[in-house]
Amino acid sequence: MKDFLEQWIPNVLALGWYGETGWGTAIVQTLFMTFWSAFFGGIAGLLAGIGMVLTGKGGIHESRKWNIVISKTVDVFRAVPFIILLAFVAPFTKALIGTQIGAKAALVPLSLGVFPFFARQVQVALETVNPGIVEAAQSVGASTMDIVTTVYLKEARAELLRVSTVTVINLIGLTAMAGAVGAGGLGTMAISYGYDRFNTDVTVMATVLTLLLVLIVQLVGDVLTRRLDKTRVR
Amino acid sequence: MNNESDVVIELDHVRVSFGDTTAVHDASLKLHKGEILGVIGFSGAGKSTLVRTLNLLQTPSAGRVRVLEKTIFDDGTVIKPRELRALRRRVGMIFQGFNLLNQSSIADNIAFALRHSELSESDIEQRVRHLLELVHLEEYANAYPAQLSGGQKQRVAIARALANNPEVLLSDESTSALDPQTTIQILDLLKDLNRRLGVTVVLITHEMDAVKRICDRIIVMEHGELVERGALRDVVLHPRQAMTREFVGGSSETERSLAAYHLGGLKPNQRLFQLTYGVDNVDQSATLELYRRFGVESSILYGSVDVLNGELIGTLIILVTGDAQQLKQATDYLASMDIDAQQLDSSLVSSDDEGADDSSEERVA
Repeated sequence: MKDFLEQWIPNVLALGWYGETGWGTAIVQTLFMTFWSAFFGGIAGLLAGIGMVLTGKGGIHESRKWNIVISKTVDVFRAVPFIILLAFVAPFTKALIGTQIGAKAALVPLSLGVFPFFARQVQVALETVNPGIVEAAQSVGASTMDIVTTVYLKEARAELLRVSTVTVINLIGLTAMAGAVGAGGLGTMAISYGYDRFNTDVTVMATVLTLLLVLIVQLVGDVLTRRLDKTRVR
Repeated sequence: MNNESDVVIELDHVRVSFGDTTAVHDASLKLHKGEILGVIGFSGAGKSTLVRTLNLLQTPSAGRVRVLEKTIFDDGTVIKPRELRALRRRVGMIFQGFNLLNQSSIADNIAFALRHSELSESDIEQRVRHLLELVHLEEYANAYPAQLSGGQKQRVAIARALANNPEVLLSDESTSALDPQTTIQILDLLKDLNRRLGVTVVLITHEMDAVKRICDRIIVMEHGELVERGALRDVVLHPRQAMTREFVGGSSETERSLAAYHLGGLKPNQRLFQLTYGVDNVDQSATLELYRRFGVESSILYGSVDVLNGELIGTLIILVTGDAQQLKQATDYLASMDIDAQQLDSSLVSSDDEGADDSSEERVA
């Protein structure tokens, strides 16, 4: 068995499990980047998404001015290709984190990169909520906070979970891109240790692991989405 | 009953415009405590828009809205958000689409309305149970809306609307999505709540049967205007506007055609009368008395019985024949009776004139 692996994926084995270039380290880095940028970008995206719905046409705090401010901010970040965003925010990252290399530094561009995508997804998800339910909530004297939490977020929770799954998968793609410029993780494995050194086996292994990660996220997301949706209970 | 102190809703020249289109023109009305007012009209007549100004789900463009002794809108000035939320808890509302929280249990749907009440957690629980009993859904506390039928959902919505003991209940086409049997159940529930809790109800509908079943008073809307209004009985028995007649339809329409037909061939010594009477007046035989007292002959052209707000109302159209003296006596006698006698004349056939409109205004005050 060992001989067989030595023969077919020598470079994969050479990188080892632990250590700076190990597979275990790479996986942890990818998970670290995905989790925290999903967290920061997610909060920002959620707030922006909620903001766009509340201030949008027919929203409970309709305001053309604020709607434009939020949606234009989102659009500007969304318009910048991620690979360029990486370079663009580098000085800012350095000022904030102290370095522009490594998984931690990558959180800044990753969060900024995922936030506009998620904001738009959240907006679409929240707009699926029947406006009548919002009105009914208003008619019993609900506050803005009640309406955001119990009406919008709770009513759209299955839809929000679905778009979150899509966003996280998208984010795993972004971490790989960040890996290309030294963020670490499976992206760095695939490109720096695989592609750049003509070690195809490393690239293939990194791809397989990334794919696996995506599949797991999708599966968990789907199961939770189905469980959460009370409109399907019978 | 109609004194100023128990006015719960007052609209004063309210107008609602969306851009260039005006959904409600110059609407003024007063509603007294404990009344059930029906607002009827075809879709697009502005009924929903009108009723939504009562809890400011729709902000008017002009005019004044007073609800429960609070001026919530006065020519562009809107009540403060905090006060508005407090007021909305005193004005329940139910909708055509039920609008329940689909991801919350039935109990949570009702408890949602109580979030800002002063009740403790356990008191809220108790109140929710009580409300569920009130709408006969005790066993569904932990179910979700998707598991309920349309009628049950509307009952949950009613329980939610009643959670904060509102003094007013607004019903926006609340039975329009329900089958006829369920519609009757919901209407009777509203009537029952009105009787037992003294809730004032505004019922928006395009179904005349709903209005006939429970309303005390009725307003007919067309193209954003309040075209006719009055006590249910008056409006149903003597509709003045073509539009109202279309709604009242049925027997009234038949009566009218009959009357119109006979008015054409009426001899100088003949008069047509429409008699309407409650079930307690049936023992007075008008036709017999007319003959016995004045020797006036009368023949019955048409008769029907209708149920209005739980009361049986009979209608007769009689053709009275006699000389001038006799006809005068007959007219006076009929007017003096407990029953409602209206002489039918040609104004009835074309009654969409200004005069009819003015007198319909009078009926309200």
